[in-house]
This record gives sequence, C-alpha cells and structure tokens, in this order.
Amino acid sequence: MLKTTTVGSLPKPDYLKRARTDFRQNRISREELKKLEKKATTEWVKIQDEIGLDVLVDGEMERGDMATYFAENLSGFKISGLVRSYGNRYYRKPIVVGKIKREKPITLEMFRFAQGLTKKPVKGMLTGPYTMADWSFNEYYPDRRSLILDLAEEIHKEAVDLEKAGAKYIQIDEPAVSTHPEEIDLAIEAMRIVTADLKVTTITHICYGDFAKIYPRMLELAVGQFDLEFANRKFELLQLIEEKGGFNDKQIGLGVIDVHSHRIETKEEVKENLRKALKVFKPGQIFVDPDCGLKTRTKEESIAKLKVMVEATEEIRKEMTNV
Amino acid sequence: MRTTINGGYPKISGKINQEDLNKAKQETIRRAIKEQEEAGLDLIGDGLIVFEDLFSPFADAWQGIRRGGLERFFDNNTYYRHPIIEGKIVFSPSQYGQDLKFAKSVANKPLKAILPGPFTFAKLSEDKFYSSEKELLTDLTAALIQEAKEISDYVEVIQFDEPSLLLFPEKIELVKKEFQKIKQELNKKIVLSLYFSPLKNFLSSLSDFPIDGLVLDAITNDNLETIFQFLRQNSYNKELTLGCIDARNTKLESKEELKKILTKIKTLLPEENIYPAPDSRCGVFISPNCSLEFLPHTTALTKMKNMVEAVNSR
Ligand SMILES: [Zn+2]
Repeated sequence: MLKTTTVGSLPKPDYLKRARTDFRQNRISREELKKLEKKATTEWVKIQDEIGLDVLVDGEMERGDMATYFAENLSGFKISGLVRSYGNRYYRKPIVVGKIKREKPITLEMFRFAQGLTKKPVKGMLTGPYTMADWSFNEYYPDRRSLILDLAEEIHKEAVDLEKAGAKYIQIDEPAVSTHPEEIDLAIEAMRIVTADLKVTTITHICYGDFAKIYPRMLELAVGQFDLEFANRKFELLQLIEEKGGFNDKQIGLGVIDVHSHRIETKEEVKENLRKALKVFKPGQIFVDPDCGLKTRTKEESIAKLKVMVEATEEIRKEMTNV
Repeated sequence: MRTTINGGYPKISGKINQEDLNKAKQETIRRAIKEQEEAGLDLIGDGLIVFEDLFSPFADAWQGIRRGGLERFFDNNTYYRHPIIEGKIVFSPSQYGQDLKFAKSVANKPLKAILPGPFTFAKLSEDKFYSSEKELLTDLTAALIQEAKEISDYVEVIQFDEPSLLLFPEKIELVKKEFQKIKQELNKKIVLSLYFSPLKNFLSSLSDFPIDGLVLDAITNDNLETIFQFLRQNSYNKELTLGCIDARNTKLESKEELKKILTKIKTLLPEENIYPAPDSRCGVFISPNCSLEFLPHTTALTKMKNMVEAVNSR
C-alpha cells in the first residue's frame, strides 16, 4: 500500500546537457551521446533505489520535449524550426507531413536497459496520442480525429512491446487532455485503442488545465491509474473527487510534491496531505508521487524532495499498521 | 482591405545576445519591422521582442506584482510566468514605451501596440492582495491606461488582448465597464483581440462594447462560419480584423482558400468597409489569428507574404 513512484522525467546532469548540444552541432557521434544517456540513466536508477522508491523510471535521459521525442522516432513526422516555448527558451515542434507509422520500437531499448539495473519495477513511459496530436503542427491529416486515431494505433504497438518486454506498469501521458474539455470523447476513444488488451497496470498522467470541466468524464479514459497534480493545487482536487464521486476502485497517482517550486516540502506537510487523501481513497489505491516530471528541478532539489516524500510515506504506513 | 499582425513576431535568430542586450534588442525590433514592411503589411508591430510573455514587461515594472512560476499558456505547449499580485498595483512605466519609441523611429508604416486586457491579466494572475475581482480589475485597468498613455504617441492603434474573456462570457458586463474607462481616457483607436476559443454566442454581446474594432480569431473551431453568420445577421459598423491566417499551424493556407474568404467578406460588409475612406473608422484588416510566435520564423514570414498576396491579388 501507498507505493511511491515518480511521474517520469528527471533532471539531466550537466555533462549530458552539454553532450546533447554537442551532438546537435555534430561535435560528437550518436554512440557517444548514447553512452552518456545510459550513464545518466544508471545514476538515476541507483539514486531511486537508494531513496527507496517502489516503482522506478528510467528518467527520460534520451528525451527532450515529450512530444518531439516520439515524433523523431515515428515516420510521418518531421521536426520544425525553432519555436518559442518561453522567454529565451526555444524548442522544435513536430510537424505531421504523412501517414503516421512506427517503423521500429522506440522506448524499448532504454526500458530494458533501466529494468536490467534494478529489481524494482520500471515504468514504461509513453506520450499519448491526443497530446502528440495537440502539440504538433498538422499539415497532412484532414482533421484531428483521423490523426489522433492513427497515432493511437501506433502507440498501442509500443505499449504491447513494453508489456512483452516485462513492463509491469505502462504510463501514457496525456497532459493536453485537460486543455480541451470539448474533445474529451476523442481522447477517450484514442486511449481505448492504446491500452486495448494490455494486462499490466496502465496509468495516465494529466496535468494543468481545468479538471472540473473534464471530471468525472475523464475517468472513462481506459486506464487503471490516474496520476494527477494535487500539491500545486493545494489539494483542491481531492474535494472535487469526493464531491463528484465515480473514482471507485481505480488507482490514484497522488502528486504531493510541487515540481514548479524550488522549496523542499516538509515531511509534516506531506504527511498531512497523505492523511487527507486517505479519507477519500483506500491505501491500496494510492501511489504517492510528485505532481509532474522533475526535469525542471536540479538534481539536488529532486533528490531532497523525493527523500521527504518517501520518508513521509513510510511514517504514514507505520502509523496505519500501529492503529 | 488591408493587412496587419496580431501580436508577437518570431525573434529570428532565436536568442538575444546577452552581452549588449539593448543593441541586440533594437536590432531584433528593426529586423521584425523590416520583414513586415517587406512582406507588405499595412499596419505593423514591434514584434513584442522584449516580452517574455504577454505580462512580463508590466509585471516587472509595476509595483505590487511579481512574476511567479511557469504556467501553460492556454492550450499551447508554451508557457508564461504566473503574475503574482502581492500588494496594491501601482503603475511605473515599463520598457515597452522605449521599444515602441525605437520601433517608431525605424518604421515606415503605422504601428499597432499590443497590451494585455485587464480581464485576461486578472484571470491569469494569482491574486493574494485584493478582496475582490472587481477591485483588482479597477487597479489593473488604471495601470494599463497609464501604460497606454506612455506608448500612445508612437502608434496608430492600441490592441488589447482578451483571450480569457471568451472563456467567461458571463463577465462581459463587468469587463465592458473597464473598457469604458479605457476608451474614455485614451484618445486613440482601441481594438479588442479575441482568440483561442469559440466565438459562438459571443459576438452579438459585443455590439455595444466601447471599442473601435474587433480582432477575431477566424481559425479556432468553426469561428469563421460564426463570424460570417454574425455579419449576415447584424449591421457591423466598427473596424474588423479577420484573423484567417493560422498562426498555430505550419500548414500554408492555399491562395484559393484565402480568396474564397476575402470574396465572402466583401459580400457581407458594406462597400465603405471594404474600400474605406482615409479617415474611416470601419475598415477591414486581414491578419493571423494570434501571435506569430507560435510558428518557426520562416513559416511566419511565408504566411505573411501569402496573406498580403491574397489581399492584393483581387
Ligand atoms: Zn505533468
């Protein structure tokens, strides 16, 4: 009960950031970059094991933007020139220019590598079809639906491969779902395709946006666990779930760490929030994690935050068994 | 019919050189203006080169407000810094005035300034100080009016962006009062830009909004049809900027597509809107549906050129 995990991305060490720039500017080979990605992955798996997390991630050391990474590895996409993300930060955005097709497995190699480093389960991490489409320019498909459904078919193939490779948890991130309440039906239709016939635990992570507008409809997304941000919203989401109901036996990924803040949470506040959540969910339903990926925090901040999270959870577990 | 932009312009090189910030900034403004002029736009912008987001110059300059964490900007995969209001908002001139002054000195075409509307500013901020939305709006409007006065000498038009208003149609009367103050205090053409959300059931409630023109996103959902229907059923007597170039997709509009839209607009609006007299207040502009900063630079440039070509080729 009360298993601890993270949402997916972890901060890249400086040597890897430099290597990614070097690779883009043709100063190092893909093999050299890959070696450093694996080095960083190894470090992060070890750190997660030491902190005592229950379900690990590979940390996404080989990924930049979560949509662009998959677009780079699917045919039918090309990558745009620089587009502003914020201030002086730019990124390259996917452009759909042909029929979407997965030519070969995308995330499998890194999943296998990370899983080979630990006895704990490592999550398979995918970006969902709705978010892939919403965060891409579309120059090819006549409408959003046909693009999203094609993406869903291809991402499904990746999910099946992850399951075959031994993934016990497969997470399909759909942060864009909450920004278009009017298209929730389409997101539901697409997720049904992605997770069809999977036997392992499926998770979707949704953040940002106005949950009130898609709740409880979003619970129809065909997954076993909903991973949501609570800390950044002062746990107001708990109230919404309690009032509107419908959550039933699904698992909840409970974001107890604010990933946008430098401040390290105290053990007491995390415990307090866990106690609140335990009034709404059963202990077996809850997976404790940060609100979102930690890639924008520093390594030190991330470790400190995760340690507090794990320690607070352990103390709550003890309280519960002592009662 | 004339052409204009609708917000920011891509910063070309991607990054502003930090060593000589002011010089680099001016060079970037100069290039943004030159490219718009060369593309043939009639009403141009400074490109909002120093804006980190729609609010940053003001959140930096005004008292009572600071910039918080990054938040998603509407349904885009881009971000803005959450303005956090911690005290009474007191105006102090932002950098924007200096930038527009410089823009004016290098521009050969008239300029349009962009300011966030008070409602969108309030909605996308975290208010830790005021006890009501109305009080916050009052002080934001007052500061925005001061800001508008600072830039007024350099521009023909001041555009207020209110994308949040489309999400809260029930607030329209409240916001109207703020724009009454804006219109009263400023001796300048004021236009209201609405984008990112459906316009359905919204346009008729804007008929007595105290502004000189509307800038409408004609791309999102079925907005183009909504606008056409509105024009068919109402006599519209303000300036209209039709944002029918998609600034959120790299797919280029075809000439035929654009021509069809322009022909339709001509049938729906009276002659004096399409061929306005020089002092007319009810002309028609064609523009992108929002800021061009959602596009890579080369695509933005191509789209501007296509837009001008379509307007000129009839
Ligand atoms: Zn997230």
